[in-house]
Amino acid sequence: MKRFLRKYGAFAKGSFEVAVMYRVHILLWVFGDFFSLGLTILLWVAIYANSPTEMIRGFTLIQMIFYNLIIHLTGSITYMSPLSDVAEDYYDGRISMSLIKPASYAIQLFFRNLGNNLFSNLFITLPTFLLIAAVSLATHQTESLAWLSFPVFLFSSLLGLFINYFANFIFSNLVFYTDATFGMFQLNQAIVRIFSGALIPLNFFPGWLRSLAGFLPYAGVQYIPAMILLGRTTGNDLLSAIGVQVLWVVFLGVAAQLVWSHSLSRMKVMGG
Amino acid sequence: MIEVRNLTKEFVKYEKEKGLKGLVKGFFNAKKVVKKAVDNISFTINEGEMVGYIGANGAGKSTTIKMLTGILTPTSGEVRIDGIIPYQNRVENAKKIGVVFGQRTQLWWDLPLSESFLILKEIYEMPDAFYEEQMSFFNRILNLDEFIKSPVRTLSLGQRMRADIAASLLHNPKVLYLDEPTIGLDVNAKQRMRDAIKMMNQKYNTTVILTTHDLDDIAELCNRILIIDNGKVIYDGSLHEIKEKYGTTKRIEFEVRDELNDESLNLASVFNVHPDELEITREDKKLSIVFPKLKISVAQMTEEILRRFDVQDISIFDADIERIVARIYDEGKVTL
Repeated sequence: MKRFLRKYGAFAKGSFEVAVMYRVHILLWVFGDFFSLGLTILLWVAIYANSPTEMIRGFTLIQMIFYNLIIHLTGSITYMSPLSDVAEDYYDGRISMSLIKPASYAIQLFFRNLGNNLFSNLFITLPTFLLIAAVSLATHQTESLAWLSFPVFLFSSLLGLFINYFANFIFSNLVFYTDATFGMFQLNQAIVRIFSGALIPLNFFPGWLRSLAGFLPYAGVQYIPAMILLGRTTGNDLLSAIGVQVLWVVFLGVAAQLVWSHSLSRMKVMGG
Repeated sequence: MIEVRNLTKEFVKYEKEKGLKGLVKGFFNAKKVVKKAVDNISFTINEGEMVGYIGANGAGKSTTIKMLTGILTPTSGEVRIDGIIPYQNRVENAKKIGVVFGQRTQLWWDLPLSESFLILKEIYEMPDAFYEEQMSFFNRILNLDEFIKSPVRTLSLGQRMRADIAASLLHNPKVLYLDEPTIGLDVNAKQRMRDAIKMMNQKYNTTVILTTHDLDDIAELCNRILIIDNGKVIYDGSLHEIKEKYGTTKRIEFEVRDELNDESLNLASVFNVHPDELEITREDKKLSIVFPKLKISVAQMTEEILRRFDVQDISIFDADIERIVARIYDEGKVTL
């Protein structure tokens, strides 16, 4: 186990070092991220200002603001983006350089993304968490968050990370079967954003869309952990929500392995 | 060590007709064309051998190498490297091989070179002592200390190639695959690369497979060459043998005192050979003639030119390996 971690940890180290190498890169990423969070919150303020009721679909403005802050948190905790890596590796031909190393490409990829995930956690998660704590205290809304559920929230987020990674990884295999990537990225990003609850809470969806969201794994990436931390999923519901996440992790993990084996055997490595 | 039996790789291409109409038509019903990139090849390479693997572009070299390194799965046939089937046991096989793909680097582009080596140390699970020993060896023969702290993206091509060759040999692999390792390098850098490769082979009995268009690399490093053309191995033997038997020409360079004018030399009729059998090049005061040595002797040709010109200097050469190989690429076969 230790050898495994040392070996693959090296890949995480590599990508993390690259991420922190350029200060401007860090600044732009963090700034852009919080800027869009700010815009989203302003949007909701405007929506609620124009709403006849104080509550929309079970959320007051304050609660909606917390929802967005927490979604921002879960977004950065579960940040894993293998799609661009796989596309770059493959079309460039540099995937061959990964394949000549004595390490599984799929695991290499996971750890490379883990390095970026660490970056995201250091520079976005931590500040967001402090921001949430500050806002809680400032608005005297410390009950808006179920702080006692925090450990469960973390566990749920960890499951969400794996669901996010496996789902994106499976999708990225399309790269080996088709030449068109640009539209693919946008499509995948849109689907994940909508069905993970990052755009709006899933209970805002009309019936048929809500049902569809239930069949997809993405709710488990952000919506489920967010609802736990907001104290809106408790007791038996909480247990079954976690259960659903675990099932998705297992199912997607196996599917990822199968899809990857198939891609590998049929792969036509570019260049030469 | 390396056993290749009836190795074949087919690629399926979908051919579309030209133009917009063809593109749309191709969307629904493209013609399937099967191309045999590697066609039933077999060879054995023993431990410690340094083999040149040459062929025209598109002949099937890279495809073969990709199957040997486990990156590509063959359509049929068998490959065994030290008993392991590479595409079935990719990770196991990878522990024993080193690769330099000249056009591409295996190093981390943005990080200082030293970081790449440290990462590779962990990936290849090298003990500290072994790592230190290897690093000092490579520092010595390749002068890596000069630039070991610089990010790889800031290195010159020569520096990057030296780094890549060290990276490929760091873990002391049993087999080293080199694909155009000296491309773009200046004379000194090329020599240093060749020396490093030779040293590893002598010290550790590393098996080396070299794919290159630089025949000087082959001449300096390899005792055996395999020529692949259109997916088939058309020659497998020593460099010496190919020169001996296939090199049926001689080249003589004459340096004459007076500027050569445009007078036709008419050597073909003088020696009673077809004009195509002679290759005559004139430049200022230099006259170079390539002729079939079995039909015209060196003495005869020299005599003729001495008779006609005021010759200052004479140089006599065996058939260029370049010329031989070019002919093989053209003809697609080797008749010995």
